[in-house]
Amino acid sequence: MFTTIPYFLLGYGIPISTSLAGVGAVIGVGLAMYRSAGVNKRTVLKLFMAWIGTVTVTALASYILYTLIAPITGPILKPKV
Amino acid sequence: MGARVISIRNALILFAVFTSLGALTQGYMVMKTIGRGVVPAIDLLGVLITVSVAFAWIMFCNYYGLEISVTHSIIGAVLGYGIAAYRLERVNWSLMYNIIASWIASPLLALLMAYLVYKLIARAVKGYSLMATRLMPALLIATLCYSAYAFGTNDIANATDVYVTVSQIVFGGMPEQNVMLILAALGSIGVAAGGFLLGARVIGTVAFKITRLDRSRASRPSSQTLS
Repeated sequence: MFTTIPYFLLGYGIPISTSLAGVGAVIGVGLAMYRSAGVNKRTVLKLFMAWIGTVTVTALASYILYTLIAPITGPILKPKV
Repeated sequence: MGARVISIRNALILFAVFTSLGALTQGYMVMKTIGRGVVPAIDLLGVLITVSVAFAWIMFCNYYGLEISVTHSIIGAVLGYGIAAYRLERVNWSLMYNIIASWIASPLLALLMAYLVYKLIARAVKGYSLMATRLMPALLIATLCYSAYAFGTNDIANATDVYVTVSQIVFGGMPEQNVMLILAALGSIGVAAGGFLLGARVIGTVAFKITRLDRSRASRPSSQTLS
């Protein structure tokens, strides 16, 4: 769904997290079966924090690494764009 | 598996077939987004950095049992690389905002759809338990195929998209579409191999976790272990 529809709208398929979509689906079934008692709110909050943390940490780390290494090696196999 | 519908081996074969189908037919749609969208291109140094950052972070989180997304790790790393290598204004921010919006929307949409489908099925099978027990295996196998296909279009693309630019240069300027097909094929082989080597163990964990979810509904025959 997130591959095909945005591709026709934007020209790009959207890379989503299938694991988080799976978590969403499990929560949906949990709500349908047991109402709000079926959902562990602390776990949901933890997952949300992990998602923010992941993007921040990986972006910072590769920014720092590239800034440190690129002056030494120069870009490798870089195409002209 | 947990519900004894088909054997793990057959499930893995179906999974491998439909994942490869998804990656080969529609994988390029997502690959383009990262390899040629968020940043104009990724050079070899960028590939090495983004892949090792994502790998290190995923291993770190696995070690401490933190549940994180491989997609988020790779895109975060590509974004950091893009800002460092191309400056802020060369990053395709409107695409990046769309991606972030989809990360909020996709779990919520999945939640809503699962809720509605569950309610619908629960209503439809009420009083038709014989029909339900006959139809359920077929439905489960269909969903397995469908989710494997979606996994191929999305996750195999996520894992291979950073290599698009470099592979194109290595293959002597081969057209982008062909490069993406080769990457999709390699990714599918890798995922299938991983599935057959280690998948059974992971499936065991998930099936067990799901039966734990279902334990209070003792009517289900799923508490047996793997078939």
